[in-house]
Order: sequence, then C-alpha cells, then structure tokens
Amino acid sequence: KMNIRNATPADLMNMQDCNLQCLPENYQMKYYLYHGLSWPQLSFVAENLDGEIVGYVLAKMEEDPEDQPHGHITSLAVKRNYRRLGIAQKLMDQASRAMVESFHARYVSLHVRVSNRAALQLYKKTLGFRISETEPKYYADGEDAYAMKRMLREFWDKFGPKGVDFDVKPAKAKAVEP
Amino acid sequence: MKGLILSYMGKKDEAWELVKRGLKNNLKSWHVFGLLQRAERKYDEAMKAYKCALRFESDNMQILRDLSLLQVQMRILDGYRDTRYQLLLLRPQQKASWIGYAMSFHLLGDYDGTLAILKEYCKTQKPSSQYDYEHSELLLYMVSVMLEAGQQQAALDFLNEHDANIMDRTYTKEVRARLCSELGRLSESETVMRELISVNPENRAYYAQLEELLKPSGPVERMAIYADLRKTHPRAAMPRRLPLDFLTGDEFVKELDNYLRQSFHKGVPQLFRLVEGLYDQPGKADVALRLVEGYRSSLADCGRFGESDPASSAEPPSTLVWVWYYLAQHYSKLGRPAEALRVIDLAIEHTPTLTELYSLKGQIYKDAGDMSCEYLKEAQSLDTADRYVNSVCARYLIQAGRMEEAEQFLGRFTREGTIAGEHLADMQCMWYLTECAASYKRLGQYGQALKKCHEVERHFNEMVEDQFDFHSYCLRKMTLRAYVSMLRLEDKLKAHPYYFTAARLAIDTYLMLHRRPLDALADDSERQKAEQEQAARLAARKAHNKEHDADSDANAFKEEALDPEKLARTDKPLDQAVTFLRPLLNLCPDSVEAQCLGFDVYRARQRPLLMLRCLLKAKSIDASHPWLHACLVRFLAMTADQQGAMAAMEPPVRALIVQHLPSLFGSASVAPKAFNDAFLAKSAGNFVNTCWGLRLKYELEGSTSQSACLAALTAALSAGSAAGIERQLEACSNAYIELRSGDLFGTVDADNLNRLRTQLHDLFPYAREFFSPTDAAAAAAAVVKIQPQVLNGETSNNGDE
Repeated sequence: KMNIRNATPADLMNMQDCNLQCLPENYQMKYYLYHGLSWPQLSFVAENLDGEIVGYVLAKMEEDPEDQPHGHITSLAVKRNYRRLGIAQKLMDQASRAMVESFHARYVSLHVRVSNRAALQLYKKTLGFRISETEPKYYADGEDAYAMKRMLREFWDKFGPKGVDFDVKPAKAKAVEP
Repeated sequence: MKGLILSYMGKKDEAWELVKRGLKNNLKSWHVFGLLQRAERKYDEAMKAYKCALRFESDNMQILRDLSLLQVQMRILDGYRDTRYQLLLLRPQQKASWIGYAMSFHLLGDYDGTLAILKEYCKTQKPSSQYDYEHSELLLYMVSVMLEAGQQQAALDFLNEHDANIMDRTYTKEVRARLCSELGRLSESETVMRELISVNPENRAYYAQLEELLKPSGPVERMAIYADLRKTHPRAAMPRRLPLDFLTGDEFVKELDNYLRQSFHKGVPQLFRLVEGLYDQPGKADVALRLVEGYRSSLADCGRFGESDPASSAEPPSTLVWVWYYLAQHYSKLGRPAEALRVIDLAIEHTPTLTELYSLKGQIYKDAGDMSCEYLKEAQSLDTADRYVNSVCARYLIQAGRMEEAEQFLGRFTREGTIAGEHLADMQCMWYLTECAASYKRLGQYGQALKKCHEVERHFNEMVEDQFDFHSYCLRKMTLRAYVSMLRLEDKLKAHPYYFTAARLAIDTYLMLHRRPLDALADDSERQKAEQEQAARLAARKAHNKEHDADSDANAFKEEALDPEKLARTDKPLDQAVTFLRPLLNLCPDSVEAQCLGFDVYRARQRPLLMLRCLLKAKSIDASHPWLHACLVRFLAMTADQQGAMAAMEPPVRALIVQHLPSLFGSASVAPKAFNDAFLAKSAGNFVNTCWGLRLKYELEGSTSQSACLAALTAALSAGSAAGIERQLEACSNAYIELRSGDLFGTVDADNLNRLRTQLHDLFPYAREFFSPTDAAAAAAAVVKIQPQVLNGETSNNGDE
C-alpha cells in the first residue's frame, strides 16, 4: 500500500532524511527547497502507511539554451527493505511524465556509479536508459559515473503538448512552439 | 561600503567600526547598517535601520526591496503590503512588482484583493507563446486563490477559459475533479478521477475520492469498483491491496490468499508490514496465520502453495524463504520471540546470503530486549555498498549505547577526513541527532544529549532562515503555489516530529538537571579530559575546514560552538526548557503530551495558572491519557497544600484555581489519594496505566506505601500475562530501570529487586535488562558465531532482481 504522490514542501525534510539514510551523496535543506520551489511538479515521494518516506525522486530541468529541453534526476533512493515493489520505476515514470507535461522535456538524464549493478539494471533494462558517456571521478570518493539518457517519446505521445513537434533540433526547440 | 565589503570577508569587528564611523559622517549609511544587522540575524535592528534609511531616501528601490524581504520573512504582513505598494508605484513595468503586491494581499487573507490585482496585471500581459510555464503557473495560482476563497464556480470557469495555456494537467485534473464534485457534477468528477488514476494508479487519495463519489453501499459494491480497476490497471498495486481493508469472511480469505501468493512468489520483503495493518481487525490475523502456515507446510512438502492444487506450478525455493520470513515477523509481533527465531533460523540455514534475514533476526532480538546487534552487523557486512543497511545497523548500535562503534559504521559512508558524527550534524541528519540525544540521556551523559538537542534546534532555525532567498526568487520564477505552501510550512516548521522528539528530550533533561544539578567537575583530571576532547574535536574540524572549505562563506552566520559541559551546568535550565517548549505548545494543538510537558515545566517554575491552562487543554484533547492523570494528581496535591503552595498564591489566582476544580475533578474537594486510587482501580489489566498509578501512589504516600506498591506491581505483571503483557517490553523495562535507580518507589532492597527481576526474566527471557548479573556477564563474554557463506569469493544476495 505504498502511496506514490507529488512531493510538497512539507515532504522535503523527510526526503532529506531518507537520502541521508540511503545514499552517500547528501544535500543541505536549502537545495531541496530550491528543487521544490523551481520545479514543484517534478519530485515525487513513496510513503508507507505510517507516513514515513521510504523512497523519493528529486528532479529538475536543465537550463541549457543550446539543447532540447531535458530533465535531470538529481537523486533517487528507495530504502532497501522496500525493494521488489516497483517503487523506483513508479517514481521515475511519474517524474518523467511531469517533465514532459509541464516542461516539454524531450529526454531525462542522470548519473550512476559504474559499480552500481542494481541501479544500472533498473535504468537500462526496466526504464530504457542508455549510457551516453562515462564521466571519470564524478563522485566525491573518486568513482566514475555513467551519464545516462532516456528519450521520453512514449510520454510525449501520451502527455505531451498538442501541435508541438517532439523532434526538434536543439537551439531551435524553443522557437518552434506556437 | 568598505565596511560592507569587509563584513563579507569575515572581518566583522573592523566592518562594524567602519560602518559606525560612516553613520556618524553620512546618515545615508543606514542601509548598509541594516544589511549588516540582517546578516547577523538581528532582524528588528535591521528593520529599524532600513526605515531610517528610507527617511532620507524614500524612493530607493534597493532599500525598499530589502525591507520588503525582511517584512515577509518576519511575517509583518501589513508592512509587507505597504512596501510592495510603494515598489509597484515606483516600477509598474516590472512583473515582480505586481506579483509581489498581489501576494501581499493573499498572505493577509484578502483573496478578492489578490485576484483583482492579478486580473489587472493579466490585462497588460500577452504570453509570448501558447506554452509559457510561468504564465501557466500564474493562472494556476489564481485558481488556487479562488479555491481558498471558496469561489468554486469562478475557479471552474477560469480553468475552462484558460485551459489552452495551462501546462500542469495533473493539478488541473485534481482541481477539476474536486470542483465538479463540490458543484454536484458527479459523473464529470468521476471521469476525471478515473483519468487521474490512469496517470498515477498508486496514489491512495485518488481511490478514496473515487469511492466518495460513487458511494458504494457495501463491501460487494466496493469490491466491484476495484475489480473493475484491476482490469484497466492490471499492474497497479493499490487496487489489489485496498479491498483487503474492507472485505470480510470468505471473500477476504480468497483475496488475501491471492495477494499473499503473488507477493511470496515475487519475494516482497515488506509483505508482512503491508498486511500487518489488517491485524487490528478481528479475526484477520488468524486468517493470515492459517494461510501462511498452510503455504509453509505445503511448500516444504511438495514445493507448491496448495497440495491439492495441481494447477499451481512448482514454486522456486525462494518462496519458502519469504514465507518463513513472514512468519518470523508475525511471531515477533505477537511477542513470541522463541518461535520467531526458530523460523528465521530455518530461512537462514536455507539461504545464508540473504541480507534481510539477518536484519530481521537482529530486529527480533532487539524487540525481545537483546541489543547485542551482532546480526545487524552481519547484515551490513553482506551488503557493504548499501548505506541503508549501514544506517539501520548504526541506529541499533546507538540505541544500545555503543556510540563509538556506531561512529565506526557511520564513518564508512561519511566524508573522508571528517569525524562521522560531526559530518552528520553538519548535514542536518535528524535521525542521527535524535537517536544520539536519546541514547546519551539514557547513559546519563546529559551534556552530550543537550548538545544534540540544541543542534537539532539550530538546524530548524536554519531552515527557517533558508526561506529568505526564495521571497524574491519565487516571484521571478512564478512558482507561487509552491511558494505559499512553503511559507505556511515554515510558519509551523517546529511542529515536525523530529523537533518534538528533540524538544521533549531537552525538556526532560533540563527538568532533571533542575531537580538534581550536576556537581561542578570536582575532579580536575575529569575536567581536563573533557576540555582536551573538546579541543581535539575543534582542532580536527578547523584542519578539515581549512583543507576542504577554503572558500567557505566567511559571511556565514556563525553561532557559538555548543559545549556539553556548559550546557549541562547551565544555571538557567528552566529558561532553556521553555525555549524548547513554546513551539510545541503553539504548533501542536492536538498533542496531549505537549501539554503535559508544559505542565511539568510550569510546575517546576511554580506558575499555577499556566499549569491550569495546560491541564484544561490536555483534558480537551485526551482525558484518559495516563500522563495527564499524573499531572492532575500533582495539581491536586498542590491545591491540598493549603499552608504552602496555596497560601503563597495571589488571592485572584487561588480563586481561579478553586473555581476550576469541579470541571477537572468532578467536585470541589477530592483527596489526591482517593482520586489516584480510583484511577488505579480502573486501570486493572492496563500495565502502563497501572505503573503510572503506582508511581503517583508512592509520590503521595511516601515510603510506607513501598511494600504495597511492590506487591501491586508484582500482581500486575502476573495478571498481565493474560492481557498480552508479552508485547509490553518497553513499559516493563522502563519500570524496572526506574525501580533500580530509586526513581519509582524510592530505594528498593536487593531481595525485592531480585524477585521482580526474576519475574520479568520469566516473562521476557531474551531481554538482557532482566538477566541476573552472572548471566549478563556470560552473555557479554560470549562470542556470537555467525557463519556467512562466501560463494566464489563474493557474497551474493539471493532473491535479488
């Protein structure tokens, strides 16, 4: 009975708590506020019956005027004893849908440790991400990261704006919209 | 100006010198003065300074803007509105001027004003394209204001009118569904709700709203809704789980059977927790047990869920492991650790590499009172890359009082070169700070406990400070709904459970220190040791900061470092307690515990009227709470003290107290002993309440009542085995600990203590608190041998994706 819903400002502190328990990459509260107040539609939480945040996705849009609009996953975590419930996939799908709907994202990107087999499995097999490049020593402890990308075509077909072309050349993406 | 620049370089004293000189020579430096005050969080001073500056330059945009930010930060909303008006007059061509002005009306609750201003603004705007996120957010903000104002039809019309420009379709649908429902357009609302479920079939609220619309007449009709939804959303989890809540009888058994089989087959560690909520409903726990025990024997016999079920195919070996895992949790919850351990051991023998099994075994021991943590450590060693398992292990160690070991574990995931605890404190890690505070308090290290509580407090204060930059940011970004939501959250930030936990620990500690202040560190070597440790930590921190944060914000607001020794030896413990108490009283109106805490603090401060206020409020929340009863008894004892406490009161105060006695106690003259005895009589069978009652009995009657209290406690424990006392380990532990320390029935002789200990040991054979000294020594010395299976030089997690 895991509840998956859009994150509100009231959730941000509990997301921070979940992040500190699950991942070594951590952020100050202000950074969570920055996400929640810049792209409120994009972050989601998984909540159990007691109201505990057992998983979350913290997402944003990249503001790169020379590229197609695209989203980025800042952080994703699910507490280990909540696996096998499809929570990570559900969180990611909701975030991706919101990126398309509210921001017309064409793809979503993320970074993952090259050694994180479970995460790679999720992104590659379940969610359809592909590796776009390796970024050496990306993480604070020196480990390399794969930069991964997932095109959001299926989300665009279902949730994207009518009359806007999915395939646009970067840098022309903004000009095309009516 | 030089002063301002110097202040940003961290040279505060020089900065202040220069600014003050500047003020003497040039009265226009008030603005700078204000900025410096604000940087030091002296908000009132800063406001005065800005207002001074405005007297000389009433049209200075920058000063007005700075003033407006401070006003909204401090929630001086009338002032905010006035300042925003001035800004609008000065720069009507700027979008933020209009938005800010409108926002100021919204915050004051003037919805019509807000909407009028925004509509006026919209007239002058033509969005650059059909899809403009900022414009969309503005439109939805206006809708949200209409909703707050109860203008439902207007909101719906507005949504329809501007539909083409709105981008957040999900929020739009949610609002539309709600409005249609409120305006009586039920089938339209239903259509939209079903669309929302299609977008996110795991949102629990959507189902509740759908049911409210359809108003099914009973379980059969309810089930029909979900059966339908399961067809359209076959992979969704909610429609499969929700019916278990309302189904009964054979229907329930059938549904639960399906649900369990699917989940066991998949291998869902949380399955027990997902089903556990049903155990409160009569009979459902038994159904679950029957089914699961059935699977267990069938799987063990023929590898299938049902022996007589030829259609079901053979289950993989992991299924049986998850069935055992479930049963272990089930038995542990029912207070039967021996059975739970037997089952989990079967699972471990079968699949020795599965991390969850060791975590659960450790938890079973912990719930049974054995905090040796060996199994948690084992679980952690099987999955060293996972921080969550590490966090759980560290949490257990902290709860067991093994602080240094916990630090070692935590250090595996904190930044290199830092002290794990310090790093976690810097990162605002609430779970860590609150667990440590609780543990240090149990260990009697009050200074350390208080330090952690104050660190939590500081983090909350910092989060209140964090909002400052967003006052201007959100007006530019137009994420106004989120902004207002954030403001309202910040207004009651300290209502958060973590703050409550820290505040409660701090208040209890300060009350203890008030009653029994610590002696000055008589022993010189102890003081030296404490000072050395503190110095070492500060030096390590400085060195680290130098290395890693060379460019750290020198202008950052720096607070005095927290010194455990100073905190524990404060000469104003009650003042400190009140600082922690106030937010609880203001922000947690539904908490009876907050009121009882308030009572305890005001009792220590001898403020009868404030005590009375807490009692009245607590009674209105939960009249049967045992802590409230304790407060009432102590209050009554005070009123019975005619020569002492009552005589010391001012006559009007005394009169008010007497006036309220009937509403609190049923009559104007109740003896405390009689009141408490009545409570005790009513509490038979309720161990927690009985403990409270006996504690108060001893308080009222003194040492002559000790044997009666001990006898009653013994009797409660014997009777308790009929009333589910095996699930009350925490209450029993607390009682025993206080008995031993003399805080419950005074000094109890060794024979009586031993007798009770033995009785408790029989009830809770695994709980180390009740071990005899010889058993405890043996247990501590015993090395627990766990044999992890290392396959091919690499541990593997069976049952992983």
